[in-house]
Amino acid sequence: MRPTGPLLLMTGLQGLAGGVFVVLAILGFVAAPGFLHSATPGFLALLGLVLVAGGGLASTFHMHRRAAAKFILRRLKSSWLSREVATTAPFGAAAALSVLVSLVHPVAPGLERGLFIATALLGLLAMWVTAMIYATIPAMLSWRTPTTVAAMMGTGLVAGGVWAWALLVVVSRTSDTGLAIALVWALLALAVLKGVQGRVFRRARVQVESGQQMGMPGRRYRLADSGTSRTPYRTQPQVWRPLTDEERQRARGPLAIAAVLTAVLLMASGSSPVAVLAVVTAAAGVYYERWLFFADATHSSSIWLTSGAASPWEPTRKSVP
Amino acid sequence: MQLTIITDLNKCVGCKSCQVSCKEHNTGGSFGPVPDQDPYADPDGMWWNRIVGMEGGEYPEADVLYLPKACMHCYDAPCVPVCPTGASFKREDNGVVLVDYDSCIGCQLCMWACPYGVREFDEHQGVVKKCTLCIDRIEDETLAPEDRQPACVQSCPTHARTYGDLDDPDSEVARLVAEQRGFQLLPELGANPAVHYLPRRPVASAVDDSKLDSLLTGRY
Repeated sequence: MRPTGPLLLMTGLQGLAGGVFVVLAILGFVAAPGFLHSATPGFLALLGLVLVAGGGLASTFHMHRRAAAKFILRRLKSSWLSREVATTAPFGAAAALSVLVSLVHPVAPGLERGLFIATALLGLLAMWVTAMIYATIPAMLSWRTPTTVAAMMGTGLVAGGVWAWALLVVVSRTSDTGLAIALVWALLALAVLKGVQGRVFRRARVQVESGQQMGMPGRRYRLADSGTSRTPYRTQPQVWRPLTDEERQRARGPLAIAAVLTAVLLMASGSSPVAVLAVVTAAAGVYYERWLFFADATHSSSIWLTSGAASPWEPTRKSVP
Repeated sequence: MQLTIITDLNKCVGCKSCQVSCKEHNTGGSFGPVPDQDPYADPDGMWWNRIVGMEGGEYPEADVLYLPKACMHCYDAPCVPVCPTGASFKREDNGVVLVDYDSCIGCQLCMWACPYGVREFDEHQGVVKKCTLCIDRIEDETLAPEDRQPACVQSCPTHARTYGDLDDPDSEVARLVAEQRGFQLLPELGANPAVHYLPRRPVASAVDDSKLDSLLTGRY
């Protein structure tokens, strides 16, 4: 489907914010005793708040008719999108409260720690609900798998963790080695997960290209005239033009480079330029991961729009001029 | 009650009169307009009913098939529960799936959820639109009874399309589905569409084995 800017931003920024708050909650327990009395938790919470607010702002651009936004919680019983709003808003509120408590009005360390944990849990819940929007659509053949939830949450947690690590490096001028090593391992696990997800996407493509017989029982048919607008199907954004192998590789290449570079930077000695570079590589990784997630997804209706393009049965007459 | 349209694929000749009459009626009807991006230059716009052309077999035994594809008004319409505002809904009294444009935020999640790709996004109004089964015609009591049917059904020159209540076992649509093994598209995705198609009946080949070799030799 069409990878629009608001979609990439809202899912990417929400994940980053979740990752930052999970790191903050963990550091509240494992960091040195003076950590909670320093300004560092406040800066981390502020970073998380900016990210979740950015995601929220991007989501308003995803709506094409904001006048009806007041009805968005009507279908909490069945719609994961309603639930996303219902969980992301408290996450944002908890993030704002965390900033207030850390930077403006300090409270007892135990209370602060509890607030960070609550915010991180709300963040995880919001990330899970967001991932479930995609993983519960049967027609999106590439997404209807638990891998979608794991990969989406994993990407946010790892990239958010890298951003939190980078902020710690800038503030303290040293690298938190334990956090860096944990992130490298998490990055490795995420790479394996993305490999599995790549297989799911490939299977969905094959299913549409060759196995569905255009949805017709019995005889095999091939598409001659999609009867629709030209790509990229302006009125049907659930499908996008199918990516070529070359385009897929062009997006996978930078994704792999970003992942490797991030791992290398995490293992390097902590300095501000390294931290800034790690922020850039992690952000690039999130962008390419999310772009591929949307652009390479296969919708079941593709069989009547694009089927046959990669099949040995080429249409005798192209529907696309 | 579940209103539906049954299409006999043996009778459909792909003339697209249903597609055009749908566009004509709905652009001027209660749910219009059905916009084009640039109608006087390069039509790239919205159609609630599209005819998909397919080819089967290989020369000299090839054939073509036309599949009119509009909203399937599914029993378990996946587009309905995903809608966060309740804009997409299924009428309990007649099973027609509709969109309330006033509540639609244009998030397009229903378009992802629809397995058939029959929902269309109106960039001008920022809302999702789709076939209404011409609800404004079928419930208009000022119309003559023969006119109270969807525009696509009324305009079909070969009478390939039949409209009626699928839940009524005595209705013509229920009889056609039962007797002629009407089938649904992509039943494995669980939407249980109300719209059915009557399958192609096998047709004896016009080319017998003795002519096949000479035909292929001549062709290639």
